[in-house]
Amino acid sequence: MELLVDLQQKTSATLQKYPEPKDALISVLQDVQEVFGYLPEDALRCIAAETGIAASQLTGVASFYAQFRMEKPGKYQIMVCMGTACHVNKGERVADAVREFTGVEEGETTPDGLFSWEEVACLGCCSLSPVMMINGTAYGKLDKDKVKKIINDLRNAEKGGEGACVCS
Amino acid sequence: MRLLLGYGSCGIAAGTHDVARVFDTMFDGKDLSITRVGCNGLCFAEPLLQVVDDDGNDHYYGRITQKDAKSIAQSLLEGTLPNQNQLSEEEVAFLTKQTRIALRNCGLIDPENLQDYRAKGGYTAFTKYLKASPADVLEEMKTSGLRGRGGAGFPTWRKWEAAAKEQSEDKYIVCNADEGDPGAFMDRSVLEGDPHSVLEGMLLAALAIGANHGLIYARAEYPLAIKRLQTAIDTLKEAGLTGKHILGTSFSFDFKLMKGAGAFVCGEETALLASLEGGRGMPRTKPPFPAQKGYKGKPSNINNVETLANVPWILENGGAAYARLGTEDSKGTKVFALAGRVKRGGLVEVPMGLTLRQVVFDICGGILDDKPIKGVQIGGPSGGCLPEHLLDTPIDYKSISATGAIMGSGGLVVMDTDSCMVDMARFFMDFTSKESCGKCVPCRVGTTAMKEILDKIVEGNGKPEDLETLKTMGESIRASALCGLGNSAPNPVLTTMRYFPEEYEAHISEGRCPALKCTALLHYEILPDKCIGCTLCRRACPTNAIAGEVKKTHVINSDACIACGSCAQVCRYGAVLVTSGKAQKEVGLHA
Amino acid sequence: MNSVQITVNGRAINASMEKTLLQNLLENGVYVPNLCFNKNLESYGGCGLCLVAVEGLPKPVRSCSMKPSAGMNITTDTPEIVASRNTSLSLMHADHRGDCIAPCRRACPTNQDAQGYIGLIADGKYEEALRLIKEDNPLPASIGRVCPHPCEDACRRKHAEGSVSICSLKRFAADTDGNTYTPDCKPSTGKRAAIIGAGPAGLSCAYFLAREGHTVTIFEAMPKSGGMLRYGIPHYRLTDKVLDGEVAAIERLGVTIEYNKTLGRDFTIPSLKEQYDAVFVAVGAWQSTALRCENDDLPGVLGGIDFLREVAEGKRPEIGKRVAVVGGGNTAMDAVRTARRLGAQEVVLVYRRTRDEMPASEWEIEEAEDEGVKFMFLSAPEAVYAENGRAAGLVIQKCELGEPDDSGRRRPVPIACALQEERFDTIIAAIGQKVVTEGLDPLAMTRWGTIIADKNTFQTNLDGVFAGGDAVNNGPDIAIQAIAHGKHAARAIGAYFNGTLSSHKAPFYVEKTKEVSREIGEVPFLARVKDTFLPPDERIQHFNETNRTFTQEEARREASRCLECGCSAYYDCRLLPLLQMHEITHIPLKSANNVLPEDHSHPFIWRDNNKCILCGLCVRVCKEVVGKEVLGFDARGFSTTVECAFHTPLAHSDCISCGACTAVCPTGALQDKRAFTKTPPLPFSVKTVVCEHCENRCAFDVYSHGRSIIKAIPDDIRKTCSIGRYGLTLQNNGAVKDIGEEAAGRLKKALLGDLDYFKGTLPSFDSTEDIMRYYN
Repeated sequence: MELLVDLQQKTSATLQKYPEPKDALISVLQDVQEVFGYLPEDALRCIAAETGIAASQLTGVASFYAQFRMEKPGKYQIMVCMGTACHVNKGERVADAVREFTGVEEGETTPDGLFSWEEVACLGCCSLSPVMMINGTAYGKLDKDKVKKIINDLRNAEKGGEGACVCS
Repeated sequence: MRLLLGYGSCGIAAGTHDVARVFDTMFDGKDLSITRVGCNGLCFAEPLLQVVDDDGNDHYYGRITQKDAKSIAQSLLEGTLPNQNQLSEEEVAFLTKQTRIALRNCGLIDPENLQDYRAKGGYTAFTKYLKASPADVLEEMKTSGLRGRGGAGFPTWRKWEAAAKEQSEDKYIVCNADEGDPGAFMDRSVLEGDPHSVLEGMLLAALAIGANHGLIYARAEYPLAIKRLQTAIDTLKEAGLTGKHILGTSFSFDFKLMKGAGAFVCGEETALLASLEGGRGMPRTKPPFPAQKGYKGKPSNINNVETLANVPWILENGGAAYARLGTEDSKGTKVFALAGRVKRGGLVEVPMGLTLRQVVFDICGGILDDKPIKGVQIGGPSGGCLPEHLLDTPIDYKSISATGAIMGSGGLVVMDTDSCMVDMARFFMDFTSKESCGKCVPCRVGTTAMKEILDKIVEGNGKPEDLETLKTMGESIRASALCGLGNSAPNPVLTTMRYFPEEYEAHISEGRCPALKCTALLHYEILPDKCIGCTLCRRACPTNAIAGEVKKTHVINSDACIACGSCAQVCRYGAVLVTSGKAQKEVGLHA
Repeated sequence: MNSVQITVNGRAINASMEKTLLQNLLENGVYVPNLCFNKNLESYGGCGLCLVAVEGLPKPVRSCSMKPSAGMNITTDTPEIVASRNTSLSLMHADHRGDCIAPCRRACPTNQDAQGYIGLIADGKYEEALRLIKEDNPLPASIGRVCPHPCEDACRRKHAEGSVSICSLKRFAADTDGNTYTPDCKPSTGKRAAIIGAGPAGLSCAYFLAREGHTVTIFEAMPKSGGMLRYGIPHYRLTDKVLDGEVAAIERLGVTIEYNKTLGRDFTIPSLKEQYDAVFVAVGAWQSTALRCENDDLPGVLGGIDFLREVAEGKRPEIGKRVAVVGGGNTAMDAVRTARRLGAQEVVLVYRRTRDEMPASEWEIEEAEDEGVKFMFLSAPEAVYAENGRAAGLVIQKCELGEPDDSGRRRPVPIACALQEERFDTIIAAIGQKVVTEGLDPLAMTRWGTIIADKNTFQTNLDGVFAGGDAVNNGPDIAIQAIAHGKHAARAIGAYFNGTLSSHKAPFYVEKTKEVSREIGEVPFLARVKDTFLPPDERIQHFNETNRTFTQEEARREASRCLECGCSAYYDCRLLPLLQMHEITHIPLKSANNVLPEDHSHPFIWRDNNKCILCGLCVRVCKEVVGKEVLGFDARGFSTTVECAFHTPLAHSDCISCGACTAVCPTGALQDKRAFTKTPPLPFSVKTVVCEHCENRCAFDVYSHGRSIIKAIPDDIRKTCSIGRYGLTLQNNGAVKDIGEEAAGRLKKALLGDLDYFKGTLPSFDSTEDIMRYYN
């Protein structure tokens, strides 16, 4: 649990980068989300207090864009592509597989805090459909078994005490 | 010898990272190295290595695994061209049959290296026109006949001219890199493979309209594109090609890159501006147009990535050279992103006027497994689904519009007989209803209402009168929605209703999905004469709907079956029969 | 001012270039529907209704965002535009959840505004309640006693601890007034109407015609008025005195009643037609249906309504000790209970089906049971058997229940060889009634012997001759139905006088259709106030009223139970008239089933997102005019709602109570609370007053109903402030008198809102005493 003072400090530090945060609100929120993994309500209150941006504007923007989260996500954020090509190539089966192997519904986080997943609009890797992306890395031509292996590998790596390398 | 390894997001998804690591290790300390380039469009063959030998001949090696990479590296180290993983002639023809202008550098240069771009003639147009008058740029653009490649196809020079006319201390040139159409990835490839062409295009546009600021609004889902763009912007600044008084002239210009945050509607000009200003991406009424009142109320001009990538070439080679390509009404080339059930999916840039059939069959090799083609989806959620008999439609703005679809940004999803057109219509309606900004009633409620009707139809609960409702509602939304997203949202439904009425008919009056796609209308059973009792299906079934002992015929309990198709996926004996009404087929991997 | 000439629907108009096209069109009287436009705010384009076609443009444009230019040629109603508007309104309707009018009002044939009068009773405004009742119903004291009240069956509170006692509340309001109220009549039109029959239909028609300024004469065959209310309903339910009072009130409007004048004997329809501009036939159904079995015409066999009429006339027929009443309807219940009061020791109700199928009201059956009436179910009279030329009993065929019939009730099927004899001194056949057709021959009749009258206009086959009540179409029904016929026929006759008679279509209303239990949510238990009855053994001794009118305390308590289903914004909703005017198609929308929570936290404002059409006016006015940005949009697409930041209740936001948002809301999504217990929709009149609370002297439109102020809206939204918006109302309604110290403190805080924003000079508000002084 983040202490309120720490949270405010981190938020303020992020705001320092923006001389005119009102004009760059989306970037500000992206940075804050980068810091916390999501947009904690207290961070938004802190932004409102420090910048004078109306709180309703902050929540209005945060709730408008698919990227912003108001809840803490999993360590590995799985984005399952729901683009046209993936749909034609049975992308819904990837979503089913992710649901099955993480054991949680879309938008939820696994109890161990490792995985959360969501359906997203096209990831632009259509020629490799069906596709999913985990923390920025795309995985293509998926089927149920591949999804299972990818998720299990990540889980096992965590159990083994070392983070799996999924950075790009 | 140059070794070009495709390093776009698509390549990475296909495993290029691992392959590159092998090459790097093998070449470590040797005088061979790979150049990480953007995607050259041969996405179907990734991971892909292009070897340019010392005579300038190209050799392509595709679908490289780590193991392949080892032996390929080995022969290269030995100074011989590898004789494995070579692309077939046909596959190479995929490239040679194209006319590449927007994609001219993609896959050929290191996108993070300014010198690579300059070596290909980059920034010569900019330095040339830096000293010319804005009218010269506009004139050349007018001659070229270039129209906006983002979808609407508005003549680019007209837009520039409108913004040029406005008097203002600050003017903005905005690059719309919020490529949101599912199934389209042209812009991503350009941004990842040749970011400088876009920046140069913006600089040239800025010269024409007198803009002093450049804003790039890029999709957050494209992290690699954003990274390379930022690198390009930084190197440009270091090189003195941006900033105050560029190359000693009175022209000053700066770039700013902003990440979108996941809203398809932000591809719409006014929504994009609202988002750039830090607000909710809700479009506003026009007039005033962005050329009059754009970013922060200042005159602004918004062009998409592909449009801008064409600009340096046009100004370098002359508008007339560009206008020689294409047709009377649609000049130049257009990039298409081919995906779906096509043999060679990837990026294709062709002169306007080619037919859809030429693109799908001649260049991309036709349909996977040589199945019959059902149609193509062109233009994404704003576009339409065209049937096989319209494949001879020439690709130009007018002809495509006449079919009820739109040219759109260039997504081309190929569908075979396994695709259900009602399901496709539902898919797009679901997409637009989720992406609607919620501002205007026709779009906010209308897309949801249409989606619910389509839900009903794919579930077998449709009624004949639903078709009339879809049609009237669709036409009203088209006329009354506030922005392009809403205006065009009914297109996929209206075109499928127009070209595939029999599929709607089958779902509604017979409760049958001819493509065996709509789960609610499917019935699965196991054929006793084919089942050998291997238990694979029983174990794969998520609802335990299959009973059976080893070496005995298995049986599906249809009450528990959710028609997910898992059994059919695992069956090796073609023993699973799926039926929908009268249509049926035996499925199973080796059936 | 720069102006240009434009052409609109072929007409040349001078248009101001400073204004939008929409403003220009509206100012020139051109009809262009719109919901999200406000001249003080930037154009928005959300509702999509103000589309017009501009010559030369490929697509219709929003007139709210365009400025006129010289020579523009505009069409406002192309087929494409009309279709788009209809679709947009249909879609808005699909996502607009609420009840324009309450289910009780919908259920009442007269569309009696029960929520309105109940709300007024709850606030102690009894006189205003009665006035409101009399807008729909001239006989509330009578109806408040005898009505089987379909309204209470529709009452949502019945899904909690019991429906609101709507009927008794009406009686309370009427009795409290005691017929002192006489509504105003419009100046005489010179048109004359003749009405045949002074029953509920005739009286109602006379009342509504008289109020419109028409001259009315009623011809009544009986020596007294009231029809079946007097001659068919026993005195223990409705006394002559109550009825006389209400009829006298109608006569005060100038209605003449000529008694003992019988159709076919004293006058004919053609003769009336010659002397009057219109005729309304409301003769009722005064003939009992016979038992239709052997010996059904013997002495000792009486018709139900004949029997009741004799008793009503003061006669006391000899009926013996054991009496059978055949039938299961309300007349049968009246007959058994009357028979008990006449001294019959054993009264048996003989009915072919079971209690569950009885058409009589449950409470009437219970009261009869209490009074010792016996029930013989599944029993059909096979024959009357005779002794000495007089009925002496019934041969009864026992039955069992079979399949349901057309009415949905299970039909009685005779059991073979199951006959039984029962001795009775008198047999009363209360199984139905028929129209006496004497003098009706010029009129087209149904095969059941009723007059054919148009369902909407009530006109018969003869021009200018209208008919209603028990005598038409489906025949006898409940009294309130007859009153409704009279009311609706009066409107049709008025239209006939103007030459504008056309088939009237029932107006369209938005209705909630979801499961009621979810709709009403958690309702704190508050038991229904029971009517107080005399003990059964006492009440069967006489024909006095069996129950009494609510006390004030009972009435207010009962009225407080109203859930206020109908929309408070009913009378100034801007969406409803558009939905009624345009062709709406019903679009079922699953996604709209999600019930959104209401926000009642704020002292003056309440929000109901279920009714929000997302026109954005509140969000924009809060930002662009007030500069506060308290309200904002949340989420996107179909899930978009208007919320405070972090979904906090409005009371915990930075709201300054300026009321700008509620003033601009076109629907009931944002509403002003009132200084009353209840906030029913009430018709209002508007008067402009100058607010004296500071030196700005802003003009406010004050909306009032009777003496109560409903709300005050600044004539210029830019001058809105909490003192004017809510202070005026509170002060004038005297609502701050007894609210207690803590509440007064909260009130003050809320009223003053943000002092920086309030630019006027404030009277001192240093203590609670100040505010009390200020408002008292």
